[in-house]
Amino acid sequence: MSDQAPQRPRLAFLLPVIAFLLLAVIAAVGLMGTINGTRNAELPSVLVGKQAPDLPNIPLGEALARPLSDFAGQPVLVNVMASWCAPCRAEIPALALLSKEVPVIAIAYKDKAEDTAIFLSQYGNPFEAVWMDYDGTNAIEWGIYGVPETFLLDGDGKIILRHAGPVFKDTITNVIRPALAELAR
Amino acid sequence: MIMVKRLLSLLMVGFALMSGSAFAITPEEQLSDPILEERARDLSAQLRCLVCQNQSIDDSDADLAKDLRREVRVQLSDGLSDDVILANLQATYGDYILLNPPVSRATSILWASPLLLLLLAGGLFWQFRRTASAAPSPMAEDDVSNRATQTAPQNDKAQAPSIARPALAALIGVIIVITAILYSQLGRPELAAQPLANRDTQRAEAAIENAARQAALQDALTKAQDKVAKVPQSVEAQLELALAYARNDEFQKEGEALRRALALSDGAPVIKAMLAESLSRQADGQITLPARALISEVLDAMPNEPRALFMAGLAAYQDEAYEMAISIWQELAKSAPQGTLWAGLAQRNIVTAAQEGGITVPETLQPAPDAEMVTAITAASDEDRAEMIDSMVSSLEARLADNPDDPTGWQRLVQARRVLGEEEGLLRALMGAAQALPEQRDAQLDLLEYGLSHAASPAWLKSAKAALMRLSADDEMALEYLFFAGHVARLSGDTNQAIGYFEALYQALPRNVVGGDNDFKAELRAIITNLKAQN
Repeated sequence: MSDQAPQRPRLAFLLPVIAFLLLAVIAAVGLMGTINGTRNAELPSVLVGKQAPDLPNIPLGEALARPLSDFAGQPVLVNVMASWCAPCRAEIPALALLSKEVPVIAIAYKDKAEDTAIFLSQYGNPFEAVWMDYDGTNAIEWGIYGVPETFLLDGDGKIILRHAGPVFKDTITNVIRPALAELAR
Repeated sequence: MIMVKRLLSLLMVGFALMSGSAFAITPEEQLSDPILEERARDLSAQLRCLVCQNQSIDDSDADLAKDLRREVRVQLSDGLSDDVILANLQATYGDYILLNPPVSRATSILWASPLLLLLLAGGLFWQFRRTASAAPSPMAEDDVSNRATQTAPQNDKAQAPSIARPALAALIGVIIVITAILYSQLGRPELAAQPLANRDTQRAEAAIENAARQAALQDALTKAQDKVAKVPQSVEAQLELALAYARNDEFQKEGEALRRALALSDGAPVIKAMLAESLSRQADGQITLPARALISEVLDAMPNEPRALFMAGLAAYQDEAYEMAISIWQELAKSAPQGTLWAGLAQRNIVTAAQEGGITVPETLQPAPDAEMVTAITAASDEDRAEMIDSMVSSLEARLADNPDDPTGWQRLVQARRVLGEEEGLLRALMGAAQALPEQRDAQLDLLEYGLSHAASPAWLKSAKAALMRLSADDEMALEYLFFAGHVARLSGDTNQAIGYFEALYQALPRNVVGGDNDFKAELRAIITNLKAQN
């Protein structure tokens, strides 16, 4: 009996250590996930399923001044981009591929009109319409927190999905085309 | 007293000024109405900056935080209530924008967890109290004092630590091991050992070198500009200017010069391909849509234009269409002259694309030797290695004997023999290649070159003459032809003929060539004199 009594408090002393170890393992797993990219760091959009906010009302030139209502009844992509954003350059070829399947509309976020125009002449223009959001007010309505972001709207103007970050070819095959196919059904 | 008060207030003003820098909000953002401004600050403190994620928008300097602060103030000025403003932002950005997460089904565990922990702690405490009071109280007290002071334990109490201590030691050991593993996996900074003092001198040296290089580049650019100013209608001058701009990293101007050259040359496809390349350079290497349009124009006019083919492959690669990229580059590797820059680049890129796309490339086009082979060879013992290489090369040779129309295969065989230092095998390979590929100039020239650095055997002489015949079909006045014809004649003992060829070569060489080529002329003169003396 005199052997057992002192042991209990020892066990209690070990408990926090074990708890700490457990915590360390959990943190390590989380950290590894972030590093490997298996843990999704993308913030979810609450706008999915809701009616899309308005586009800005300043177009980049008359030719690119097509409103969303022009595309009523068909799905449309809204790409929030900027000439100063490097990933936005990288996604232009993928958007060009997509533009053969679905009209793509750009919101130029915090960009100067001449910069956007130069950007489009340099990298090519996959967009049916380009609208200027000079101060980022519209972007807040769209829930943007960084460019590029891309939204897929159905024929009624409802947001079907949001993709944060550049659109690459695998985004098209894995995310956008399946959603388009779903819409076509 | 008043003095002290004044001092205190001064100090407080000082602190206020100092801490003022910690606030991200700038004066021009503030609302004129102090009550509204107060509400705006209050709301901002509750909203998360979605870029920095652990700061409120009130604290953050991020652009988005600034926009959100403005949005809050706009909505306040519109007369909306705090709740409505929060709800509006929550509707576009979700719960995540609220630093205080609302109670919902998803967050219930989060909110309940402090209570649960408290209950758990209380339960444990109660449990210990019960067991402690069940045990004889002097024992427990003794144990506490023993733990606190770590005085020499008495015999009967030493038992308890003797169990816990190894366990504790083991635990600490485990923690250290885990930490070490984590550290080696995640945190090790891989910096080369570079003492600070060295770094400064290195930096200074690099700066000097860089300045010299810059000056030289600038110089070349000025010269090119002068030339263009003198002969503005010369395509060549524009191309030189474009090159000078490209070397100075002025890709925009490179493009302009190329456009002028393109206009002057009436849209030459080769220049168009250069322009496409320049456009891509302007776009940090991305083959942009305008560049793609140019490339397809070039390939329509000239399906084998190597630069356009190379870039077409790159465009496919950037689209992650790896199989297409590989097939385009294979085309390039086939059509570009062997041993040129394009063929090498194409081969290298095929390997990269194959790895990226997880594609196995048909064997004949695989460059030799691939990484796997190299590892296998280096892993083997010396004898095994020699045997492995030998069997590989022999099998290649056998395959080429069956199917001689394989330029890359011949190239590999020649290279392998050369590296292995097998003179006999090398000559055999060179002769085989020259014979199997009569159209390939390089194959003929390689064979002819062999005789200059090796003792000329009758076998070589015979096939060298045949190679000369094939070359002469090309152009009898080509410098290489004259050069090798002279040597072959000399080595077969036909001195007169050799003198004739060498004289013709001497005449054909430009009168005043730059740099090392003048040495060559002198050398040639010496050979001729020597031959004449022999005669």
